[in-house]
Amino acid sequence: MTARVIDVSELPEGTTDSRALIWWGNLGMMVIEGTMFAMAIATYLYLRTVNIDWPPSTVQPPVLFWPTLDLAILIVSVAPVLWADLAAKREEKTPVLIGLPAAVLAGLVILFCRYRILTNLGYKWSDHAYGSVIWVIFGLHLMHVIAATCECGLVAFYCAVWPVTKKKYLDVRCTAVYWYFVVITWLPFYFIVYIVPWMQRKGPS
Amino acid sequence: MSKQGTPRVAQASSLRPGRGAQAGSLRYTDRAALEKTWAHAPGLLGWLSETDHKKIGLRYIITALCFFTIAGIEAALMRLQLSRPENTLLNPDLYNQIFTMHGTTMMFLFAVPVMEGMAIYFVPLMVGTRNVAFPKLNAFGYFIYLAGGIFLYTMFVLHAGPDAGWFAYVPLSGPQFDPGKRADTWAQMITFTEISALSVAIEISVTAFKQRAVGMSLNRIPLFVWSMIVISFMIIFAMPAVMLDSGFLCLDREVSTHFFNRSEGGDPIFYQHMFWFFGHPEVYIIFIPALGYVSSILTVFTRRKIFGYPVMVASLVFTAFMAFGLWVHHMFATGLPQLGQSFFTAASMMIAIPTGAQIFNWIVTIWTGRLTIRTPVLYVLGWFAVFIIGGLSGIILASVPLDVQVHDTYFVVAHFHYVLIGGALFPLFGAFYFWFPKWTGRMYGEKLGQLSFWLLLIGFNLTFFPMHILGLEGMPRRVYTYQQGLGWGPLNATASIGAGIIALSVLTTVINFFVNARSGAFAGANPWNADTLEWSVSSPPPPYNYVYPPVVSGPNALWDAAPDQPYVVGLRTDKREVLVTQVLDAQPSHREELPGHSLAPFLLAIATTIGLAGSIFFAWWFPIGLGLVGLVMIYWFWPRKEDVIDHLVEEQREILREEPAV
Amino acid sequence: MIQSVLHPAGIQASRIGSLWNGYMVVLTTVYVIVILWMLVAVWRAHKNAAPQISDAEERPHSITVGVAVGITTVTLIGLLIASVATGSAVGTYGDKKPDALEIDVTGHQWWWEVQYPDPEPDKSFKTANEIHIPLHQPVLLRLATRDVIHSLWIPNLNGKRDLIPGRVNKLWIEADRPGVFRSQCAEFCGLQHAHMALVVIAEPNEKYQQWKSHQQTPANDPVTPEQRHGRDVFLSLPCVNCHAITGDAYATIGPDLTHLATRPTLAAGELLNTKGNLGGWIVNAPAIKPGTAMPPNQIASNDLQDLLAYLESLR
Repeated sequence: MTARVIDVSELPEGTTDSRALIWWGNLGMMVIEGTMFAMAIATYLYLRTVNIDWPPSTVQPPVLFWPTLDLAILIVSVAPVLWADLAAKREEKTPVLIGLPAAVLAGLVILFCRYRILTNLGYKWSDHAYGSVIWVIFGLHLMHVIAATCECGLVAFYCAVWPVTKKKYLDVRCTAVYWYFVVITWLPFYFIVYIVPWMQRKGPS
Repeated sequence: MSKQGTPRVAQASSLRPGRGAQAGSLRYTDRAALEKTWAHAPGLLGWLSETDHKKIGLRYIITALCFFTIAGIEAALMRLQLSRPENTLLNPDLYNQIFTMHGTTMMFLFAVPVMEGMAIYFVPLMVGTRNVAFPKLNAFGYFIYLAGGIFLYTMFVLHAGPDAGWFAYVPLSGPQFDPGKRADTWAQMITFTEISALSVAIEISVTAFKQRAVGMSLNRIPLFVWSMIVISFMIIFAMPAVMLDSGFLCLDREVSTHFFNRSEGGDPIFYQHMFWFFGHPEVYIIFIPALGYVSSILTVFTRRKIFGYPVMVASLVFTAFMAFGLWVHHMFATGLPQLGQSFFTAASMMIAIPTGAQIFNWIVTIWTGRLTIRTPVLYVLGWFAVFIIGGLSGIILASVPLDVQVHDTYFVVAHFHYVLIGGALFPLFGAFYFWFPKWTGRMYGEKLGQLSFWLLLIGFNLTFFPMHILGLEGMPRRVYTYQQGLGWGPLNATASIGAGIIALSVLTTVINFFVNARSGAFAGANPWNADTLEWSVSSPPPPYNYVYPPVVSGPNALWDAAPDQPYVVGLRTDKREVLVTQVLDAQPSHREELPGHSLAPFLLAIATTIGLAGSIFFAWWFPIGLGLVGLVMIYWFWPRKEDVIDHLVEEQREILREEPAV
Repeated sequence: MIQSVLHPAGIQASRIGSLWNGYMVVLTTVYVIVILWMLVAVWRAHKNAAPQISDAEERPHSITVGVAVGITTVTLIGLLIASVATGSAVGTYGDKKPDALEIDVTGHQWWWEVQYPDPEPDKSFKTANEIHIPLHQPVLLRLATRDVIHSLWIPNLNGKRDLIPGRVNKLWIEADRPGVFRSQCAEFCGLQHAHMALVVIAEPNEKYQQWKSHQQTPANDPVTPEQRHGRDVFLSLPCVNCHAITGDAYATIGPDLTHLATRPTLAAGELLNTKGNLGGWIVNAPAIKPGTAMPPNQIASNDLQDLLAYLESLR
């Protein structure tokens, strides 16, 4: 009795698209972190329901320049990263070596913006619950901005110094998706930290 | 770029004879090459750099059982203290630490990790692949779990162990009422174990979705694997809540945030909401794998597939979803609005429906099957008898007016031990007996096994049934003693005796396993004539699991296999390669190389431990730890020489191919 | 049975008790049926020659499972309705009860402060670790805490309610037979959670009014020389930093001692209120109840005797 075989030796060794295992692992990690962010937002909303004064009356209305600049840079930084991402799918090196460093640059500017914002908030995490939750929101997201910036820098470094293998192109793509995640998760936070208090000040008293 | 090929199904030559006897010179060389590629490394460095899922799975299980033993000793101390009114064996401070450590150890260091260990060991085997999707992450997950346990117990020995209960409500665990490092230890230990659980969740879900054997479409996945997929999703959505909650507790204590401080806008009840949003799914994360074991065992011992497979899968999925909608039933005494509470009553009762459906399906499976009674089956039947009582006392607790009488009393202690020990431990022990031959290659002792079951059944009921009555008689939880005239003495004494019988049962199992692991009868690959894929390889399995990954034709892989069942060839034997298949119908997609030995996971665990453990003493250790983590990550992802060489060779080949022939 | 769910002495506990009985009947029946079904299956399957798996053989069992799930669902819905109805009756009990007796209970680590407020300030009074209520009278307990979360649970009268920082929770009770009912803190609150008891004494209205008017009187003046000296000892020791005795001391950190001698127990139910126990408690409370906020006191033996004479006169 002869056996039948399925010969997979002709199948590609590794891919640079969403069929790859690490692609899904990266996605899983982002779902976890996204859930953490959702819980942080839930914290904000819950504390809002148990406080009459929210934000507390001692909190000045936020100055919008640096946060909006920060948001603009985040959104604009998607472009070079997307360019690098699509190039990596085609296993093309040059856009990767431009797009990722551009993201690093954007990350550094964002860090500077955040530094300005946090030092001018006017309240500390230990002043009141509002301060605690806002600082924690910033802290959580900041950790991801730093991680994503370092990751872009590291992957760009690897691609510059060593020959870029298919695996490394896949890493570029995962790093790019992580960058989109960092940008997208800031949107609800920006809304909560800046738009909502602004709306409340303008709304009926 | 290489051409994307399609697999060929070919009639093999006589070099590759039929399924049973895959002898032949080609298979022999393949196997020799695989042995070399997938070999374990010797010595301490080999142990630290191991990435074989079977070894790591067993590490989880054995470490979890060590913690189980320690927590059992803690329980024994509690039962000794409570066996008489006004006993003075343990002073209140020590008792409070011990009951906290018992609960914390059982929930975080035993129950979840042991289920994870079973998943890590069996999911790759059952789906027909060679390793989990992320072997280095797997290794790291174990080390960080071990570090968390060692951290907790080191602090306990240094009199800084937690003493506010396994869920550490504020303000009792807050900065004002719990000075020192006790609650910080608890909160940080949670971070360790949750990182571990989240790693496992990612590995298991990706492995189960992307690395299944060809032909294992979604409706052919073993119910064991389905239960592990379901808990992976639950872990991913539940753990962040407790990470954040314990993080907030640490922040309130260490740097004076006010998440739970009423006078500055926080709310102590918020702690409870966030904890139980995690806490309720957590108990289902512990319980649902046990349902997988019941299915695995009953299939084999009734000689038929489980009745109603689609309903079984749907029940698992529904239970998982609904588990997220029940948490307020832990808070019925806090004075929340009545209408909201009624919603949670309804949800807490309705979750019994999918579980009920599963129970009925299993009974029908037995009814229409041909049952052989062996130790694993006894434990499963014990599960029916014990868990259902726990489920029914749960229905009582779901009702608000009944709950406000028995909440926080020994009635609740009885309930959760019935569902945790009955619901999870009985099937787990049944699973240990069932898979013992696969792990060790030898059979356990059947008579001693059956004795251990009866001891557990009797001991367990003797210990915990009286507690229902004690709760109704007014005995609250977490009391280090009780007064003479209240009449609680006799039932407490009975419970303490029962605890001794439970210990005897566990001892019997341990002896059975220790003795027979060395000198039991040889078991062979498939002593039970079972249906899932792990039974088609040697006992214990070789490091690479399958010489040729199997192809599956039905939900019971080995029973539905044809005499000339196909198998997969063409994976490289000089690299650790696995076949990646498509999510829905498991058709071949591509091949991927998995990492082998690496010290990076161990180093990452050290860096993370420094950051987490250090930061409860001095906040700056946290960013220092992050920095160290960053350094290790650079090492983790450093390009490998072999990859670069391979890539350059492949580039050269492309260039040569494109040159016109001279 | 003085601390039992199954011996209701009040309206709420009786209602809950009826629900309990109904649940017990239903759930026990369910358990017996399911286990019998399982055991019969096991017995049959032992005898089966081979498993029956053909589609024709499976169909009747699908129907069985469907019916079983249906019965389960209907049963659960029935239990749900009964629960919501009971919960609503017990929960809305306090609406439209303008003549309720209101009592404030404040939890401390590890004792219960009880205050009977009155529109006239000198008619309100405080006691500790005991509540007296008249029979057939709706009583609203307003619950607050001075430190961590506690829970007040008088099983003979009603379910429990937590005492939560920053909130005032409400618990309604109405006793319909006389008796002394014991209660214990039911939310883990630290070292001496096990020794935080409270008694509820439900008595006919006349006896209650007697007790109440007596509690409203100021502290007895010391009569004998020993008692007078005892009062001086009291005022000279740190006692006044924590305790109140109307007319002499006003601190609110510890229990009010104005009518200390009328109480059956000390230290939240841990000790009987005898001279010896009181002396032991004053001299070294932490030895009896480790973790208590009451410090040990260095006190000469004859001073102690006089102090005890004074305290025993605070009837």
